[in-house]
Amino acid sequence: MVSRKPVDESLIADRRGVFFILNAFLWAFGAMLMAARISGHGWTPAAMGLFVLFLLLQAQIVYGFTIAVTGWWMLRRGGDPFRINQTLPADFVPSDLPVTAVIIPIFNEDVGRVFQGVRVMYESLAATGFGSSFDFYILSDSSDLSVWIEEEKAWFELCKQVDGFGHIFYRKRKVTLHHKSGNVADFCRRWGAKYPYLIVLDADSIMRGNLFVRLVALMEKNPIIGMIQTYSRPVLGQSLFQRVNQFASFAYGPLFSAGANFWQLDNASFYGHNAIIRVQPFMKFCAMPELPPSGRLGTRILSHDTVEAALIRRAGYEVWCDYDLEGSYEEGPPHLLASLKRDRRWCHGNMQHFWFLFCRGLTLPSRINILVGIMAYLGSPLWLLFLLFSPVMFIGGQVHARSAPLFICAMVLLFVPKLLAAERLVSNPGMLSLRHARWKFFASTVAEAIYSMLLAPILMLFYTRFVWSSFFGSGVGWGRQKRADSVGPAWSDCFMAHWAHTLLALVAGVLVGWFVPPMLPWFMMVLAGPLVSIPFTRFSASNGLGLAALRKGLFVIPEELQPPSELRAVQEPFGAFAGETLLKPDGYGEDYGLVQTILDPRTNALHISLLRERPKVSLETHERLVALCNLLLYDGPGALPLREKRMLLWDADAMIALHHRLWSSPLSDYHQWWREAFLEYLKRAPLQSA
Amino acid sequence: MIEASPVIESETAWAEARARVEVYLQALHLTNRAQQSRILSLVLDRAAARHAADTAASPVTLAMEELYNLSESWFSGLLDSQDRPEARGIVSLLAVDAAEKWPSAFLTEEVPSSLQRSVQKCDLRGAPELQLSRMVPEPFSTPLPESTLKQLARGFAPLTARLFAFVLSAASLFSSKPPR
Repeated sequence: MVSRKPVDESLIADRRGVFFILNAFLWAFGAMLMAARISGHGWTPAAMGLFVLFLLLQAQIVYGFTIAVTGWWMLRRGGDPFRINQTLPADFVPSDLPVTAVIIPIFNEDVGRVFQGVRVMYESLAATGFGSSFDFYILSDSSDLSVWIEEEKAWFELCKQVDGFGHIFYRKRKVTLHHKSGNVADFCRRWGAKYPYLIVLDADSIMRGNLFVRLVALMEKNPIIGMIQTYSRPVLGQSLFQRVNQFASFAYGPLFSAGANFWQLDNASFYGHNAIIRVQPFMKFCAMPELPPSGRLGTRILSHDTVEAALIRRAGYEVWCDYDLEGSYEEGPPHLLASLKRDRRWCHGNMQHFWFLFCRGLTLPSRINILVGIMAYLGSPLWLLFLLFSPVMFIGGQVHARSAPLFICAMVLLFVPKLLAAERLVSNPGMLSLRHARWKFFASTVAEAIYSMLLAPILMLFYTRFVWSSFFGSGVGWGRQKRADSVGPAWSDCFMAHWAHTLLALVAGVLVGWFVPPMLPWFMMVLAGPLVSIPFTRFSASNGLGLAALRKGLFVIPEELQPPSELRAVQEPFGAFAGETLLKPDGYGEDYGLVQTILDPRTNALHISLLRERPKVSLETHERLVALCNLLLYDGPGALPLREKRMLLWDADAMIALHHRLWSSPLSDYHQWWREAFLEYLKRAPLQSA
Repeated sequence: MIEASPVIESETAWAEARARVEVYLQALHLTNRAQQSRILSLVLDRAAARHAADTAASPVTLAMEELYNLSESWFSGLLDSQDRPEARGIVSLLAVDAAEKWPSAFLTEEVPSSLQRSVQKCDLRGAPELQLSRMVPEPFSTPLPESTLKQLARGFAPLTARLFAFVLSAASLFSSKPPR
């Protein structure tokens, strides 16, 4: 690997030195205040335990504070001079680009949204003049048979509409080993050798065409770089939950990204999507190893991204976060309960990363990135312990005036980043050009701070449970990710999710009020969230409240004031397959995909033509498939479990045979279910003539 | 109970066969009336000829079999391939909008050369040719001795439980101490 480094080693060392000395100073200062507070009370075993917890938690808060402050300072100076984006002139237009793969791993997603997103990005790329330099791959692991069939139809329709045959590909994986990382690895093994770079997207990602081009140009310019992560902003939120999150990301994201870049530089993290990867080293060094066996944590890694960044960095390739490039977007979960479902998986994955703290050869910054990821979840049980523990120290005693400096210190660490973000919003010329009243930005920041104060203890309780179940509970599955929900969770769901939190907060409030009354006002800041958690989750999921806030100008982001054409286009519905669907999904349930594939000649033909050639099956398998076909036709789909329906759908000969048999026989030959389906199909067939 | 006469039964069966072929063509977007009539007549004539030799066979079965046979051989010629020609042929026709651009071409003896060129140019593969390569994980390695690693595993897994236990026992110790 021969390349000039974008940034000198000495500068990197200086930056990291400054950053961690600042961290250490603030951490030591907080520790000193806490020690002074405890000294006034006495160094009992309980006090020592509390002190240890404080040291751990203080490190986490100080790290976040330092990142925000250095980020604010960098942005205040007009941006970090050592950004990877600076290695090319802003108006650079490449004369030529190598063909790059854009991969979109999907799993039971909203098919219309996925393919509309691909259409928007494909057309945006075409407008740059570099469309032919990118091949799109939709890599499906969908387990829902109907979703699978809809994906095939959508792929065909999209290719037809944008003339994308030969540039937009669809691959369905038969054996969905190792979830998303296995899906990406499968792509690499099959087609990775064709491409120098791959851009990995999530199902809800949107990237503008010029950003694709820029990323490839940056990789071409800097052969030492293994990955460039873009900063993807959540957009298109409707519920209050989504809109607050996307506002927070807009307000604080630049600070934290710029601050992280200040010390990480060539050793940034990778979030698994909206990023470009150099394929050859990725394939050579980033295959996920099996973890040592450790009970319920499992041996297969669920969250692969941070580890992949650490492994490619270990091999000598740099990992950068290009946080200042515009045009990288994603959508967030619609409400808290949907978000927690994803967090559950991330938490388990991050706990598995524990092993990589001790992995041979990783750089120190990679280990710090991994540790920060672990602490994002492990911090919650520590916080809970700290909160449970601290009032116990004061039972029968009094809350000292010495607590005030400590309290002020904590408030500074927690709220100064928010104030800095607010300052940036109301004074940045870029923001002013949006013609949005400054006070509305400021009011949104204040409202977001209150919202976060309510949300943080609720998340703490959930994350504590997640950490617990990672070690002692049942395994974590790879469920469908909810990305849109116009109704929101039912009150009963909110109650079931939060009743224990409400009860816990009530009991804690009564106990603290009874035994340590002076601490109650302080504790109410923590208890308020869990106390109102049921209505909080329900109301924050409301699209009505989200849109009402938008009308009032609250939680507004630039993409709502001046939406890019790509974000407008992605909200338009995706066209149906070849004009119409002959069968309606109602009444067919999970068999909708199967019935369409067997009945509809177009769907059947498309499905068969997309199935890969298969070596001749054994006589035993052939007989089994024939038996399954007979069972399906004579006893109806209800007679077959999902696994056997899937087996039939994977077999082209079986699907041809089923289609021919059904169309070639009098209706009375088969099960009532098929007769009714066929009659409906005949009834709905278009009778127009040209 | 009045039983239907064989003649009426037969007419009903042929009407069903005709309707089945018609709907099949419509499902392929082949809705041109003249084309439909030509294909219906071709298919039903061939089916009727077979039925004369095998009166027990259902007209629906015979008609659809004839349609499949005719289309399979026509698609084989169009695609110049024997690999699942019917499925690939249908998809190709849909991809090039053959029903609109060549409304009378389906099942004709002389395939328009423009249609043939258009279909053969169309790359309908779901994925390009494989270019297989290896992506093999390196075994997880650590500078720590294996025994230390196992100890760490045992220690980290119940970390939360131990912390809870520690805090609760410390709290109980403290609660027995008189407040200052």
